[in-house]
Amino acid sequence: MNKRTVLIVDDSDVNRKILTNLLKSDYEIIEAANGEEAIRAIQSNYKHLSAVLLDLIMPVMDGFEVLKKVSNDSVLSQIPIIITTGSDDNETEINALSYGALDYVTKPFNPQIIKRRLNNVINLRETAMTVNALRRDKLTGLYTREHFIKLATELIQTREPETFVLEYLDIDNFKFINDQYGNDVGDSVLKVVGDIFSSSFDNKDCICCRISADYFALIYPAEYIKSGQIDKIMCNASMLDGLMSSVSISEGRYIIEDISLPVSTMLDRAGIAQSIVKGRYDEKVSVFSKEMLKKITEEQFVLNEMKPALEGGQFVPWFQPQYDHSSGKLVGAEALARWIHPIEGIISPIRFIPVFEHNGFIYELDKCIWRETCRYLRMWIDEGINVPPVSVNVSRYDIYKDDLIDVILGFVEDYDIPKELLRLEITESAFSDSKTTVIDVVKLLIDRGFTIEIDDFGSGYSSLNTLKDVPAQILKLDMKFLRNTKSDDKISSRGGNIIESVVRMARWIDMDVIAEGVETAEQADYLESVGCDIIQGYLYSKPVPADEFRNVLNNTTIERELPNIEKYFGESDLWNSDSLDSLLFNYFVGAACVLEYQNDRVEMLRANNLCIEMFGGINADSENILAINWKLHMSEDSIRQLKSAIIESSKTKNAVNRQIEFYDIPGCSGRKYIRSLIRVVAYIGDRYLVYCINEENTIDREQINRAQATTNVFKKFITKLHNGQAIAIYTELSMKYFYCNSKMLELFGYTEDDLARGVADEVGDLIVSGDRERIHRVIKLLENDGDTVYVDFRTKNKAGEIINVSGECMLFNGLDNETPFYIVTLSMSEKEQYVGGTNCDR
Amino acid sequence: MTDKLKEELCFLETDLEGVYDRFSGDEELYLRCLEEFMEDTSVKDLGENINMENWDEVFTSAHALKGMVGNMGFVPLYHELASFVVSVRTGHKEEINNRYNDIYKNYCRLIDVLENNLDRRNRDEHK
Repeated sequence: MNKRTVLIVDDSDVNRKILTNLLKSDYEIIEAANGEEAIRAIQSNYKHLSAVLLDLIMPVMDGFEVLKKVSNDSVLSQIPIIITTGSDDNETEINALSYGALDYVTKPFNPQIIKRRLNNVINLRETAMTVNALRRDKLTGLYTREHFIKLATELIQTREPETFVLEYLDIDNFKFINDQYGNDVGDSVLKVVGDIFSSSFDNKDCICCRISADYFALIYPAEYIKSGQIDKIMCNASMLDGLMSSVSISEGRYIIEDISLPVSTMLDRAGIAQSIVKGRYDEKVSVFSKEMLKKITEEQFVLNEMKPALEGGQFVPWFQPQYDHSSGKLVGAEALARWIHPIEGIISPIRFIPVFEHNGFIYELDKCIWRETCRYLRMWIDEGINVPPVSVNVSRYDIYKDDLIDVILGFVEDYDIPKELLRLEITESAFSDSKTTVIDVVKLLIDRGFTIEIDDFGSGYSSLNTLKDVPAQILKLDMKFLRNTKSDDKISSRGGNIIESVVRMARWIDMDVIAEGVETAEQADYLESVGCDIIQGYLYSKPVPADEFRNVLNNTTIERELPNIEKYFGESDLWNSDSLDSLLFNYFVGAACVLEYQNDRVEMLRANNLCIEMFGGINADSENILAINWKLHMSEDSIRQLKSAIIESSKTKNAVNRQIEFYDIPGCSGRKYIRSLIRVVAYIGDRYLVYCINEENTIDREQINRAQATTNVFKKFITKLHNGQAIAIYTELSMKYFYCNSKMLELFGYTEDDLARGVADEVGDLIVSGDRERIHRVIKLLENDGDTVYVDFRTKNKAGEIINVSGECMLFNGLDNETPFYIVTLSMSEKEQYVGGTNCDR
Repeated sequence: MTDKLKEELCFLETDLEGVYDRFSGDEELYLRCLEEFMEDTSVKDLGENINMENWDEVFTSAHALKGMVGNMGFVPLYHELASFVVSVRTGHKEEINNRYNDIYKNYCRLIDVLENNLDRRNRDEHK
């Protein structure tokens, strides 16, 4: 290790010699005989000077002058100075210390004290430098990330939520600046930006730091955004004070709504927001939202789960059949990756494919799907099933893998699959990356006997060039590229012309065309009319699990009948966004949805806004609602109700009303009761397409349930009484039993069945004739709601015998001026019972 | 360093033990410093500055001399110079002159010892 350097300043040659001799074994020594020499030595050696031993009383320039000059220089003042002085000179020592000397030693020198004090000040300075380096960024002088976090935590801990903003900034294309102008200019840019930040945020409510490289962070009061202060500062920082042409700064803001969060987490959130606008020309500021966190969390979930999922066999191929529309025969299929997660259920490919493409895991996924597809093909071939060609996806990222061809060949050979049965789909956009490489790989695969399909044809920028150069055999046209608008399923006349031209062109160069994403019979008919017979899409089938596809394969000889939506729906088409049905569906029918039902599995295929709102609240996302596994949120009875309605509707071709109960729908607590008008619009085998118009009656149902519960408790209570008890409703026309307990039934000689069958309904008919009129006269005297009168009367039991009954009759005027009615509560004990005929008439 | 020199320096109350410590036992270096002390004119300059009443210079050179003799172990001369510096600060001229005379006598005794014991030729070589 290099020795530290010490400067000895003394006009006495003897003193210098003594000190040099004393310290030379531990330090490199530089000598100066007066103040002027000392200043020159300090200026030329400051970078590696560890300390100065300075005599005060000297000719030419004394030690005090040296101390003054050094203390006025921010860099030189960092060097620790020990003064050498006489022991009787306290005042001088105090003065020297006030000028910035760190310590003093007295003459005559004490070697031990000099060495110790020199060592102490050097250590102190080096420790201070280390601490400073931890707190301050060397280049910009701004705080370091660690110290920023500490200061920001202190700043916000007593503040109100949403009053401060934490901002994460990045200079766009900073790498370009370094590459183009050199690192020195790059450093200058960082320094200028840092200077603007430190001068602009120079108050106790603002802190700024350089996180690393060209990343900065700020914390400031939220009101700075409203006042336009932040925009102004960013504008100044971008202009770079004439250093070079302006730079672009992207900003991510986290409005501190939760002050209990660690500042490092807030920084992460601001960073997430910043990543949204990084490199964008039109938008430079993004504010963190929970949706961003959700997206990142989802991505993180995918990243965390992908390896165990691969090892655990959670990635499986599902098969979407391809049909010849002219004959209805199955002619092929596409194997599509599905992730069956043990807790999450089926995870949509939209959630994981982009993540895998980004991190390179897509190759592992694709290999898994290729292998599994080959395994299934082998299994079905062994079962004697007539297997059509199945295509698998080869990602644009897979093309560059050195072992790609060997891997595919390996699977085909391992499972002994005829190569014509495993087709390879390469997306057209892959050809725009490095055309030569991709074409070379395609040629090699074709040479090995594989059939290549160009997937998503029409999505690339130079589709015609691709057709010209790529020796693929099949084009796949995705209908979504040829629709009028995003939501329109109809083919526009322009789109139709393009399809026709592509199909014709493909035929000229001896390529087959498969249309995918075909959802309507109209689309299929059109495609057939222009010569594209092979159809893949929801019209025929969505992707299905392997066992279901196996069943489809078993039925390949049976020509399939198209699901005829018009059969029940008239001439218009629900799937066309500009059709009358769609208009009604979206705006006039209330909360409507289209379900697919098969073996108690319920999937919502489409829902209008009212329906989405009904199930998920005002801010509900249609994707989330459609992704719900409804079976998990319906009671067994409700599933039975739905099933019976579907069967009834498919038989009668009429709509059927049902009360359906849902519970624990994601984002919606408690139970939900829906009155649903259910109509089957199409079916294939046991799979039904069902149109539902829904009306929520949760509040009514809950009231009914509560009333029912009360009635049940009441009935239970009355049933337990020993005396005969009955409740009847009396109107001018009749008196009907509402409820009789078992004792009363026994006394009357009736059973519950008799009551249920209405045998004893007309209680009034059984009352002895004179008593009937008397009751009538008495209760007619009642005027006000709740007035009560006691009545005794004689009535007949089931055997025709006369029995005495006591009752309390109460008047109810009924709601909304309805006809008044009377509740008669009857009671009778066995002792009171009188059987006979002599005193019947009073 | 000869025993005779050591003996005579000890007689003049020189702190040879402190000197060895301060010079890290380097006797040769001490000898060279003794020779420099012989050549040094600070004491004589001090007298001239007193006569000229050039008090700033008196203070500076006395202070410098004090530090040097202290380091050389000349204890009596060091103490005399320390008292002299105090006198210069207080400004008593008579006291200053008296103390300077003591310093000069003490200085001369030291120079005598050194001249008698240090070979001129060696001294030249050491220069």
